[in-house]
Amino acid sequence: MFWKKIVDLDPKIIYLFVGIALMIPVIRPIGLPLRISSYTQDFYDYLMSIPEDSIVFLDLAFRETGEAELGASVLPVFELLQKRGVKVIVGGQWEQAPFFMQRRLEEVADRIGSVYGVDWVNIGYKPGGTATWRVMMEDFWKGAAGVDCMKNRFEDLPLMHRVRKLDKDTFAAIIIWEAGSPGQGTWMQYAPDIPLLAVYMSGIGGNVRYLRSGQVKACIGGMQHAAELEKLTGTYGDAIGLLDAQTLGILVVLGFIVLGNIAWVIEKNASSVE
Amino acid sequence: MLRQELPAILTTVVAIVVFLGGILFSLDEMNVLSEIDSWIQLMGNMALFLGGINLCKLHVNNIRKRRQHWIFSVWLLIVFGFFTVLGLAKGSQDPLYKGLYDALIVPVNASMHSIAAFFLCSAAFRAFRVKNLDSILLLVSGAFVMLASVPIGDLISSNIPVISDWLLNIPGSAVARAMSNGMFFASFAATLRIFLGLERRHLS
Amino acid sequence: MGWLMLAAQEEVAIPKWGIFVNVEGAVSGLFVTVLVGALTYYWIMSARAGRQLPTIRRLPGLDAIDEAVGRATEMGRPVMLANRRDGLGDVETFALWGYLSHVAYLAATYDTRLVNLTGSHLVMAVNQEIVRQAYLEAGRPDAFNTDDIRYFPSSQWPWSSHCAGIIQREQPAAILWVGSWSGEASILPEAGASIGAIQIAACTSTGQLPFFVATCDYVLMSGEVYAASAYLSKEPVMVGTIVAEDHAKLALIIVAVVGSLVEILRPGTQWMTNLLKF
Repeated sequence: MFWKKIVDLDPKIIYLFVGIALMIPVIRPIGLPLRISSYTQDFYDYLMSIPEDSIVFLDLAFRETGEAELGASVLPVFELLQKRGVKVIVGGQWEQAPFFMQRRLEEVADRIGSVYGVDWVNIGYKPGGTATWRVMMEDFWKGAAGVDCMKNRFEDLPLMHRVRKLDKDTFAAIIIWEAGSPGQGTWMQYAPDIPLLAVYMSGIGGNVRYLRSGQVKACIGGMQHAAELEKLTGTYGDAIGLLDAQTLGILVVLGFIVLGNIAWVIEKNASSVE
Repeated sequence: MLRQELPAILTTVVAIVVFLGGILFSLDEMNVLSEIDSWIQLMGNMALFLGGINLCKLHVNNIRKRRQHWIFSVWLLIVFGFFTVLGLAKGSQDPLYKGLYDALIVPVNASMHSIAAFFLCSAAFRAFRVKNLDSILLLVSGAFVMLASVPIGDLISSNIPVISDWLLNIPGSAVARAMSNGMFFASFAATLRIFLGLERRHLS
Repeated sequence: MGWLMLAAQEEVAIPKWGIFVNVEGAVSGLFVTVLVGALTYYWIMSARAGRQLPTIRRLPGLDAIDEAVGRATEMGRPVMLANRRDGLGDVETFALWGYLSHVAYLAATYDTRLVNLTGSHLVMAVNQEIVRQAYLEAGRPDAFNTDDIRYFPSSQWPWSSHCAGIIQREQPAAILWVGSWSGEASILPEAGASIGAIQIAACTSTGQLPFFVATCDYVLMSGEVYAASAYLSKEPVMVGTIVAEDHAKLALIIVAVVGSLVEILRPGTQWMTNLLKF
């Protein structure tokens, strides 16, 4: 009877335990040791190999629902590149992220002394889909309508005078934070000669095939890699703090899975005996 | 005749021009694709504008006919109008615009997304049962990948991340590639039949 | 110094084979497109002419659709068919119509209510006509209810909340998730499972398949979605496309196998890759 109840467990009980498991580390961090994986190390090494004074394009292709996992790694990457003297153009294939990340990027820029318009520019989201990006590849100013996300004209931003085309001669790399479609496919299809780095939501998963085929030079995914990147870059932020919550959550899920299987096997044997 | 034939002919002609624009040297030199992209960009922006008008028409209709939950259509039109006017007048970086967005839209969307964490747990509890060989393989591989995605996996055993990487790199990659290739040909053939004018159901 | 400056000028682009852009894969891409296009055209025309075509095998999920509608009839609860992302002209929408007309016909025959939710108002208009036609063919034009063919703007989370709300209110006994999906795939099937509905997914998004596999009773994956739709609708255009696409896949498999064998025997040569770079 007890095991039958476990097999048919009300999902609300699972939600309660998962909720508690996710909340505890947020209130009282555990501080689990973190080992740097090869994916994160390769990603970091690639960022460190980008020459000073190069320009990199950051494609923030996510919305606010991806902020926890993807947004956590945007700031360490931005800070690392800016500290190394690499110029950054921020944009996005999705509407939301370039918009709501602007304030957080400004905070980092102010803290490290980066100057907007000289060291970095946020062009924001430009509607029109892949056609817009293709136009930018031929004529960046035309494709972006000549203004950034705050309606500053490109003529008034010194960095933009170096950016006339979205091509390999202008950009040393594109880094995309991808939550879905449109995403890396745009760059693989239309700008295959610009080195592409990718940050995936919820882990690398099946996207590892792009790394193996060389279409992506380096990639990381999920909260763990974001936390590892924070540790490597020395910028301790959201990811390290939230990783403990993710760990406990996964342990609770695995615990329920094991319990459910034990109950199922016992119940199955009991009913076959009857 | 024009209702179906003209759009089909237009689709085929433009598809051929765009395709050849990327293939033929002479058309590439004339920047044909670049010009077409500019027009597509313009049409995309027009579609955004039309989408807004359509949304308003739909909800005004709901209100007029007093359909179920029509009061939410009133609320939608108020919010839509407010954000549009504020955005056009002050820009999207205006503190009020950003403040409302951060206070309302972000938490609501994030809350909906975070429900996934709970729902996935209950789904995993139901799905990962050792009923047959397939489900055992699913359970074992899922457990390895889940544990490898958090630091505790490495603490339990340094082999867990290695096995997880192998699962993702070898069988996982192979299957993902196979499905993507299959999907590509399905979409490719379906798209070609639209370009060739053989598919007209969307025009009826 | 003049000749040095001349040498530093941008290199003049040279066409490949005299007429093509000098980009890797330009001509091979043209070749593949023309080949697949010709195959598609040939098999669609063959199907329309009534010639015997290779049979599409009956996929396991297809039996489940009939069972699901039957179950909904027994329980006196509606059937629901939902699609969010795909607009008019998307290839997934053409596949959706195959499922919709079949399920609508069954629902009309068994006198079961069908609720359809979509994220495009244009698709909704076409869906209404398809369902109306299906009810007419089943001899039940009076049973068709326009209000059951619904539209809600396709913004991800608002649409998902609306869909979850419909599931809780309408309590469908069977739910079909058809088309391309994104993050809502982790939420909506669970909402369906919470009311005990039998769920069948026909998903073309490979990234969301794990969520459907974990929560749904039957899943049609990727290419199967189109094949199943062609099987159900028997439209010559759909059937001919499936046959053409299978031929193209066979060619790809041969290329992959031959290329892999050559690479195993002579590692590092990348013979097939270089061959296809023309």
